[in-house]
Amino acid sequence: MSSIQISSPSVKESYKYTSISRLWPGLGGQNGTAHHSESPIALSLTHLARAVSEILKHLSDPLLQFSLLPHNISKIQSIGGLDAFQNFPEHLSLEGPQQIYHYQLLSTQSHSNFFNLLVRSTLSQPAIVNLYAVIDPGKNVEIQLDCVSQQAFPLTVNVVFVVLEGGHLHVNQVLRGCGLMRCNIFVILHGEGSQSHFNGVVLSGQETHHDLALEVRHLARETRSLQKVRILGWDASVSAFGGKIFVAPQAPLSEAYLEARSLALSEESFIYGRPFLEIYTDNVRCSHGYTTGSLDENALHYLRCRAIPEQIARQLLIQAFVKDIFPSSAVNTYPQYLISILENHICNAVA
Amino acid sequence: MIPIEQKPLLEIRNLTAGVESKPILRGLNLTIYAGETHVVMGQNGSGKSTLSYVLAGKPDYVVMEGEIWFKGKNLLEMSPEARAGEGLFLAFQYPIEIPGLSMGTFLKTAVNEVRAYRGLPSLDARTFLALQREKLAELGLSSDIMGRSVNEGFSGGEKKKNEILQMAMLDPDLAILDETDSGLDLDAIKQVTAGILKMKNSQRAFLIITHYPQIVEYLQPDKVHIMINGRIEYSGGIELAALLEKEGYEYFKLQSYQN
Ligand SMILES: Nc1ncnc2c1ncn2[C@@H]1O[C@H](COP(=O)(O)OP(=O)(O)OP(=O)(O)O)[C@@H](O)[C@H]1O
Ligand SMILES: [Mg+2]
Repeated sequence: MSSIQISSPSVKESYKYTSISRLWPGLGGQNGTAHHSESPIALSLTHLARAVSEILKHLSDPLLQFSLLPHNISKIQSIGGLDAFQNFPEHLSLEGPQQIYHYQLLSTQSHSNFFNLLVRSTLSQPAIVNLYAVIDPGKNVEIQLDCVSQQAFPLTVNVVFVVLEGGHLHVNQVLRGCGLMRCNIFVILHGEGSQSHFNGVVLSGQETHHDLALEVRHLARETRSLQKVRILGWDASVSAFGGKIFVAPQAPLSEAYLEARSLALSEESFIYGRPFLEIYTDNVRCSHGYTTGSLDENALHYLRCRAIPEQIARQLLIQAFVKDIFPSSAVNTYPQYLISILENHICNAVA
Repeated sequence: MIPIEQKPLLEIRNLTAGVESKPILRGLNLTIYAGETHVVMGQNGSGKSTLSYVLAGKPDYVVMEGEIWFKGKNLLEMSPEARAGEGLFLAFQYPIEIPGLSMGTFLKTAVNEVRAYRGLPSLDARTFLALQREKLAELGLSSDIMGRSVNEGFSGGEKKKNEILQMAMLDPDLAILDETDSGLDLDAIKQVTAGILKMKNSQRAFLIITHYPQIVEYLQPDKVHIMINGRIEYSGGIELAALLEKEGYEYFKLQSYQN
């Protein structure tokens, strides 16, 4: 249909996904990965990469910029350097109770290089939402991404960001809701000196299954990326995080950090985390780490010794675990929207 | 004048407690009246912190035998938060770091929870800030720490001062200070002891765990206790600390074997 192809995850890439057979026995394919003609099929990163390289090839020519995109993509945003598109695969019916919301918020005290785009996807049918955004040279874009699956229907969210020379991308993301959700985030630091900062929070509860795959590709000199992910697993939920940092040979003097931590809040929850580094040049600074654990009983006792009732103490600690990734300077700005979502969610879950 | 029939603030009777099934405290007795300052000294590993944890209700510490009465109530039946609400405060030997929880949120929540427990309304923001500013200044702490995460990246001394700050804000009836003086510089020791002395009154009692006879000099406690192997073996006045400094713990251990 178009330069962007859809395929199921190949065996080689199956690390990104965990078995969902427990949730949808009918959907379980071989290898335990999801594959079913009527279920949403994940875009593989390889295909996304191919699509993006096509986009990049034509970027210099603004006229071509749109023609290369699949005809069923509609352009939904274009604000000062940030272009976002949504794409619905042809085999997917859009009839029925399905909604996709894209909110755009502009900072009230905005200066010209600062934009906020709030993308919220709320679907009640199996669906795939694709978002592509290009950050123009020197632009500073902050994006709040709130992904919610509202019914027990699989949702796949694919996001590709391409950051051009000197551009700064800042993404705050929350994955929440019920059912199965997969989110592939693909950040390409394409231009020299481009930077990205990704904060992601996965909230899993009940019988949800959330997969977050994040890949950051450093393709130019002096690029910098910082990734922080927090995963909360309640009840019998399953969450998986695959984070990969790729530093190309043409990207010396780059820095990349990936830090993922998960908190198991019930004995039945499963959380998988896998960080990867792939580095093809010297003279880079990279680190990655993944830790998993349960609530710190000593911290809980410390708070209770200060007269804070156990339930409130638990809420404070879980919130602290998540809020730790947002810089304190961010409080009262846009992440506040996501922070209040997180706080409400945690209060309800602990109550 | 001390009323003749004054009830103890804290009464520990024949306390045997430990972790899992291993007793650490072995038949400990201690009685503290309101207005008193008690000092507990003892070798590393003798069970001082264990005593403080049992009093604060740390879940992994099990009481195998004995009773603890606080203000006439059975302490062992109370949750840690209820103990704090009742007026028991523990300054931790090793304060806990909580990344992501700001000091401001923590302290305000704690103060208002204590007040709620005592049937008092929450402090309005202005009164709270005024109180906080006053206490920070007394301890020589910068107000910047209120925006930082609880104890995260605090220096050793800042952590100890932060415990005293919380004590001052929570207005307890019994404050247990577990080696709050350890790791402080000379000025900080003065600030901390001044903070303690300022809080001394006829309603409040202190149980101070320390290794330093110097602190005993500063604080002029009513009683000094020496803990050996999970039990308070010697109790006396300030002179006991002086004797300990002169003779060392081995002398006291020997004495207790002979008795
Ligand atoms: N949670 C625990 N698990 C196992 N052993 C413990 C635990 N807590 C205390 N102990 C042991 O109990 C003994 C008393 O420890 P405690 O911390 O009460 O000593 P202390 O008198 O406070 O020593 P210090 O002066 O070094 O602070 C030690 O041998 C210690 O190893
Ligand atoms: Mg100790």
